[in-house]
Amino acid sequence: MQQIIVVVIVAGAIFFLGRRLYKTFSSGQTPGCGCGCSGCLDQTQSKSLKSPFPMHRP
Amino acid sequence: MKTALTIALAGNPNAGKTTLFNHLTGARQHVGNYPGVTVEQKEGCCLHKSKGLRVVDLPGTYSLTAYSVEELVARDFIINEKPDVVVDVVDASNLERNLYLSCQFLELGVPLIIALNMVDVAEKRGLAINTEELGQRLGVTVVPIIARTGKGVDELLDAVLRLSEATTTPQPAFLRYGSDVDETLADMREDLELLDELRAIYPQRWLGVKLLENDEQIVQKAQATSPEAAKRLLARCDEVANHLQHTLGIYPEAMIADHRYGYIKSVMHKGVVTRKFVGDRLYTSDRIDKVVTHRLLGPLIMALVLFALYTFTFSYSTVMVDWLASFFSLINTTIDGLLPDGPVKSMLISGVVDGMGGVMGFVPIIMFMFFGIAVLEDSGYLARVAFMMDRIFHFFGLHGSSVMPFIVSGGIAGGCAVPGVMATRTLRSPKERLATLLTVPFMNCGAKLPVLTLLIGTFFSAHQARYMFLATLLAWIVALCAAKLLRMTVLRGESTPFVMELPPYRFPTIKGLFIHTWERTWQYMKKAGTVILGISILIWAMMTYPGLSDQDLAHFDAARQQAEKTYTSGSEELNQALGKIDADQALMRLKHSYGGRIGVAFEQFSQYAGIDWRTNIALIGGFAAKEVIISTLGTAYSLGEVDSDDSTSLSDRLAKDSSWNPVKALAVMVFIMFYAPCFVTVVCIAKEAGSWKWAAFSMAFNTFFAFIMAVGVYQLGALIYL
Repeated sequence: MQQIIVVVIVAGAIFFLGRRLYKTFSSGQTPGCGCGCSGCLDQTQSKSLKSPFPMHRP
Repeated sequence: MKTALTIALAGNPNAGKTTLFNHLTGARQHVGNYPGVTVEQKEGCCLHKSKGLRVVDLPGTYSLTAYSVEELVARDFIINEKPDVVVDVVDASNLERNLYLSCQFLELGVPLIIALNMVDVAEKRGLAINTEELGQRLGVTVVPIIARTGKGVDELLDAVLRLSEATTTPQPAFLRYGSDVDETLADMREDLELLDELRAIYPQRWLGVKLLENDEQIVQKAQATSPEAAKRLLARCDEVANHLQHTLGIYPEAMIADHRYGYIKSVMHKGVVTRKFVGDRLYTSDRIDKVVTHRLLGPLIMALVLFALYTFTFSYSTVMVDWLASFFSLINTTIDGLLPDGPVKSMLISGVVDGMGGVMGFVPIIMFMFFGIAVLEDSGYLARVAFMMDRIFHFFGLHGSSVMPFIVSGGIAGGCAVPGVMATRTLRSPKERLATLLTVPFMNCGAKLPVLTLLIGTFFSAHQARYMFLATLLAWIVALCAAKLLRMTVLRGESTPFVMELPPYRFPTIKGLFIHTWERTWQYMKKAGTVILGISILIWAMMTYPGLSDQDLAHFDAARQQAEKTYTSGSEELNQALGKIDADQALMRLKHSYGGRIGVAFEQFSQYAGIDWRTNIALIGGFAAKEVIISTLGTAYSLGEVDSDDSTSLSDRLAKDSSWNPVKALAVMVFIMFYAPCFVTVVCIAKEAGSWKWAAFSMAFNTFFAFIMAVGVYQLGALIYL
């Protein structure tokens, strides 16, 4: 049973890291200046983002 | 459905565009108190009087001539995207210089509003600006604002809505540039009319001015549109350039700039700006700079500031680091008590807690370091560091614009090479850019910081701040020497001049400091809890499987039976013998694992630098992310122990291990500081350099360079101390 749990967790880790790796390679754009090696700040909106933004009242 | 209005925020660097953008959109884009923070445009939205506004924050520029990437990005957006309104954010305390860009917007004929920002700072400097009069003279609306507090922003948005609803189209302003240039522009008219495609996008006279300014993009476009007309136009430009050189000793672009400033002076005279103090009065910032950027005192103060930052970090974070170590130790003990022996328990203790937990344990140090960096950055001191380093950079064949990428990458330990690599976009010379791209990863980024802290804390605990200071100094020296080497060999060429603007000193706000500290600390924690956790689990699996063969297990069982036969039951000798057999089995299992085999294979080379097979596994893992070095060492030393749930910290385990000593620690530190950049940085280098060749070069060059240095340190240290 323990071996099965370990296999599932390791497979999950491989999937997560593989997906991240794929995203790094497949993204046409390099990250912006608000980004680091761990990703971008949540608030950073890239210029290619087409989805509507949440409206803010200044 | 009605489309939202598009507002472009443009202006000089450090005029407060990003602050206004954040205020308008509620975003928390990074605002730096130095130029060049925004290299590409950012977008956000806001509502004003039930109207949706799409706000675009453009990079800071001084002009609209394509001299740099920022200028090109800003200009292309305004020309191609045609925003409904361009809001030119103008620093009221530097009005004359900021109006130079406004002047170019007027020449381009875009729908313009001037947001006169930082009017409070201008008032403190004794400047009173008559905004109505200024607006009338320029022919645009001028709205005084304080972007930091949001004062005047509503009025600004009212003006934006009014302008967007206006029925008249703004016409390009007609500026005179002196008889020679004006005559040339008149002569060029016929040929300019042949550039139909370009005239549909740009005002005709503006095209002529850009050709005279030798704007690369416009020259290329003109040549593509009508080669014959472009040839004649460029010949006319050369003619007037030679004439101006011969008669006045200046180029047309300087003549055009002089006349723009002349126009600005004429706009500002008589009642627009009133000065309470004399013009050449030294402001507080200038006074401080006299000392802080002094040729001799400046570097000394810089070293002291850096040393103080490290002392502050290590002195005040220790208690919290100890708390976290106790917390993770408690988790280990709890897991050990709750779960039966087996792979799940081993994975949780050796992989997750000793691996990822080891990285999390450094959060307090990272937090204190980031807080200190935020103080330096927000106050404006970091810009002074860049200014002082600029002098040194030229000596090493780098451009002044290279300073910021170095600082961002970890010039003061704690940055990140990825935004550092991005920041090289501001460099125009491809060779200078490549030299910077390839050497910024030598800086001590935030991921290397916990690794260095671990080794310094374990082997040089009495002088933590001093060693971290020396590590920073070494990173700078090595990066600059490597840059010089590259510029003398594969990237040979002249270094280009650079002028840097120093922003005024500002008191950092408590809120700003906490936001900056939290954002960076959160990034570190998020990475530890996601990527590092995933890698830790994989590395644990690599260091656990395939396990020992039945033959090996039988060998250890036989040894145990032999010991039980030889020694009396329950005796101390038997316990010692069994303990040794258990330790040998754990070590053999680790060495026999997939990870162990890779580590052993590399040991034949790494032994010259004193690096053992267990550290090799960590160093290979470090290519994924440098923090993985800690998590892998944590797992390796945890799995190599008889009691993996033992609550001893990694630092204590390394200190007790006979194969580790201060010389080896120094060699490992040197290797970690300079070997191949992490995977994400390598991808960024490939994308920015436009070729995987340079990314491969970066990995090979850095690793070879680091290995040579580590061997040197180890062999020399072994001769002297061991």
